[in-house]
Amino acid sequence: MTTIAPPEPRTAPTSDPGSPQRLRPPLRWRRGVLNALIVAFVLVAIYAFVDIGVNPLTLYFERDDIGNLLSRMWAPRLDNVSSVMSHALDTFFMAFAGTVFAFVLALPLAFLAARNITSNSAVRAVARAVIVLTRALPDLVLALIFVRVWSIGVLPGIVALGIHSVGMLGKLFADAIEEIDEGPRDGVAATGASRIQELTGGVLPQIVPGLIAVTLYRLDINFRSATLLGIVGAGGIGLDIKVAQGALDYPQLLGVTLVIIAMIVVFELISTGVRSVVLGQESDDRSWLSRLIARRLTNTVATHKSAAIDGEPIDDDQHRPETPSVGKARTADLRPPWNRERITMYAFAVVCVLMLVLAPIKTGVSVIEFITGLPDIPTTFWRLVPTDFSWWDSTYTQRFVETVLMGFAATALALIFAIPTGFLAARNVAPARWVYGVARTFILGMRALPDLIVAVIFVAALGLGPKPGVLALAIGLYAFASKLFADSIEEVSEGPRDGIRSTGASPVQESFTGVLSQAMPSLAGNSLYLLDIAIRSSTILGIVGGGGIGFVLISASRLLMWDVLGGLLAITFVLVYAIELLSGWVRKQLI
Amino acid sequence: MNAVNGGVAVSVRDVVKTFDNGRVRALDGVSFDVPAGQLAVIIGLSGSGKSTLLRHLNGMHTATSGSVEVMGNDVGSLRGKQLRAVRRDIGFVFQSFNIAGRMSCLENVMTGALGRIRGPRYGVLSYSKTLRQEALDQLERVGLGDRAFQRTDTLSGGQQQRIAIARTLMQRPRIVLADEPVASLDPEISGQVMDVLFRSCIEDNITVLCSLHQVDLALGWANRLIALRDGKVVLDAPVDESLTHDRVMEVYQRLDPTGEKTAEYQAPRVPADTGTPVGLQLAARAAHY
Repeated sequence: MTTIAPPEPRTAPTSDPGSPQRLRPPLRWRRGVLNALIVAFVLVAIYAFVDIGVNPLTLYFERDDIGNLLSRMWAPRLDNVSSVMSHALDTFFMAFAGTVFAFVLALPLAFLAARNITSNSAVRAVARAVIVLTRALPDLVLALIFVRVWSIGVLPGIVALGIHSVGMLGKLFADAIEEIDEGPRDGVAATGASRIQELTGGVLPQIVPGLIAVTLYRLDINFRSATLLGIVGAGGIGLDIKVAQGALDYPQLLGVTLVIIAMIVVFELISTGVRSVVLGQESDDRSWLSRLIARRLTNTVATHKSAAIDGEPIDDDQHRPETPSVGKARTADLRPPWNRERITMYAFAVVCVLMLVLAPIKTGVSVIEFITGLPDIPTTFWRLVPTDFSWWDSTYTQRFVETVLMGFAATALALIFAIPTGFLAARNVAPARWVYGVARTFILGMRALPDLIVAVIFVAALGLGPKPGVLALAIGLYAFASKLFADSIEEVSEGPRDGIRSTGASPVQESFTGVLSQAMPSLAGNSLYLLDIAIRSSTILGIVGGGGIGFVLISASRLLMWDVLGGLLAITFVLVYAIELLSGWVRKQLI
Repeated sequence: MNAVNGGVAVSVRDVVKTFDNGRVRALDGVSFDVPAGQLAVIIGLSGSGKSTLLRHLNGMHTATSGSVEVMGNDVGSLRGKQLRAVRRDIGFVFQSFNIAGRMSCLENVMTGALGRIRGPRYGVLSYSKTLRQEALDQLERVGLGDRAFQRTDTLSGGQQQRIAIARTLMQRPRIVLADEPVASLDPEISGQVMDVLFRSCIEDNITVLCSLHQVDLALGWANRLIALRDGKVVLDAPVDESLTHDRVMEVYQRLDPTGEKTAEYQAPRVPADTGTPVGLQLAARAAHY
């Protein structure tokens, strides 16, 4: 006989089920810290609201001033159309050349920073430090500095975008390299390949799709940034914004703004299309328009791919009997077939090279100019190393505190509106399909507004100070946050929702208990990411009069006060890095 | 034991369910009645229509034709509030547990009460003390009272399923539908989970419809066996000495796909004797293990 499995030991009914302590979750250290941080965030945000004078209804209360300005802006006008269009084209080439520049620098840097490639920990640490540092320097500030080296024009913009992008590209590339499957690499190494061959044969093929995806995404971001760089004299369409703002020519300001919005929307659609063709993946943007385009493109790719797969074996069978009998390889068989995928990749490469050739022709930037400026770079940066803090006084402290408060206020404002929007824009939670479609399209439209330009308009309507800066920043963050939230809500698994629905819970109860509980870690993580971005952005809002440290930064750079500029940048860096470390820690606690 | 004897809990009449515009026939004229208090087990191979059938009973699927009545309600015609009111009385235990892994065990159990309270809830402390006490009692019943504030995804599969059962009991259901509750568990844990599920349902006088793969477990627990094949009922018989393991296996596994012999295996359509002393069955099952 087999032994009888003892019945499940059940807790004795005498185990005191009723003691009140057992009905509350035990307070653990980690939980306590997280709760304290939530309380701290709310308190700081409320203080920031009071201090800056904003609240969730500010836009409504200020509707008169904003309406006034809009009526003065109406009807939009576009003088010097050819000059504006030329600047618009410059903007594109600036973003493109800057991204290529960043790619060239970031790829070797990423290999040096990847743990599974570089065994020397000192080299790795230096590479990581370069990545962190370049990411912490805002492209607008870099442009300010490089304008001193190469004078006003497109070149400082390209270099600024390039250097700043090295941070993000380097980090994401290094992550991609560290995540590779080691198998293929070992396979290549086992054939006796050299170290470089191992990297090109075993590592590179695995990361290429990731490299392309990340770089295209960065091109998108750089294009948005490039529209603003002209504000500090680095070329592109931002120049026209600055001129119109300086001349208080509001119809022209609106006209240029509309051109920028149109450019961003068109560029977004093109890049969505390119992404889905080159990477053969469906677009992650779910608005009506981009879904429509992306679907058509992926469909054609899919059919061609399957055609290629169907076609290949047949070709093989046809050729195989001939080849050995003839005894010489036919060159046609030694080349991969010109299938859709290969044609796409070649076309993509040709377009990239073509752009790279066109960029200097159109923008008038020459490599020689770039090289002649290079010797000045070390001295320029050396001058930025702060040696003397005698200029420091309490107004700087105030500016920094204001900068941080602006970041908190903008994040809180954005979150208040983005969480409900995120639920409406998530396919699996939205009350109806049309609600979801409208919400996604609305978010896409809002994301086309660069926050610095919104800030220019708000400063014009509400006067200088942190308030217009916070509102502009909050609008930009709101659109971004809504998209992040909607995406993470859509990733929630359906099982627990089924379970809760089967208990007879209402849809609202289901959303709270079944959806929110699952999405919470990513909502919290994304919120911290937003705070991170908000504080970074609020350091530069002052450049257009939106409050914070940016105003001092730009005046220090205009007056060539290198010590002040360097000192402020160093403090900004420490601040931003501290926030990043904190949010990284909290995100790790939330799983 | 069977206080509600006589009432019909579930009545399924000629239910046909097709998917893919009629290309797949998941249920093909299924009919049976389950009297209140009965422990019915539905067996059949994967794809025989067991899950589809159970999902009809709480309105997660709607029949293409035929009618499904649960406690006198035509489930297929109900929507929104009315459907939720019926679901409140029907517990559902899923094969994949369908509990929220990040939530504590206690909170997962308390979600079973959502149907009878108003408004959204988030976090343990958003539920009243009475509900927390009740949920803790249910956790004790499934033997996991000491895990109340542990995250549910730190538990083993069998324990997670017991949490799901506690959630179902928290609903105070009159019927429990269990969709292969032990299919993803090993045999020993399966026995424990079945023990918890059926013992609690017997205690609370809950009607059970449970789909299973394992004939042994079915014979050990059910007082009625319904076998499905290709969406048709091929066996419907009370569990007694005449229903041997071999006979069930014959139906279960080696029925000719043409369906020629269906009638031969078809037991007379009488509601099974619900009075079978379950205690004896428990003993029988224990001996079997």
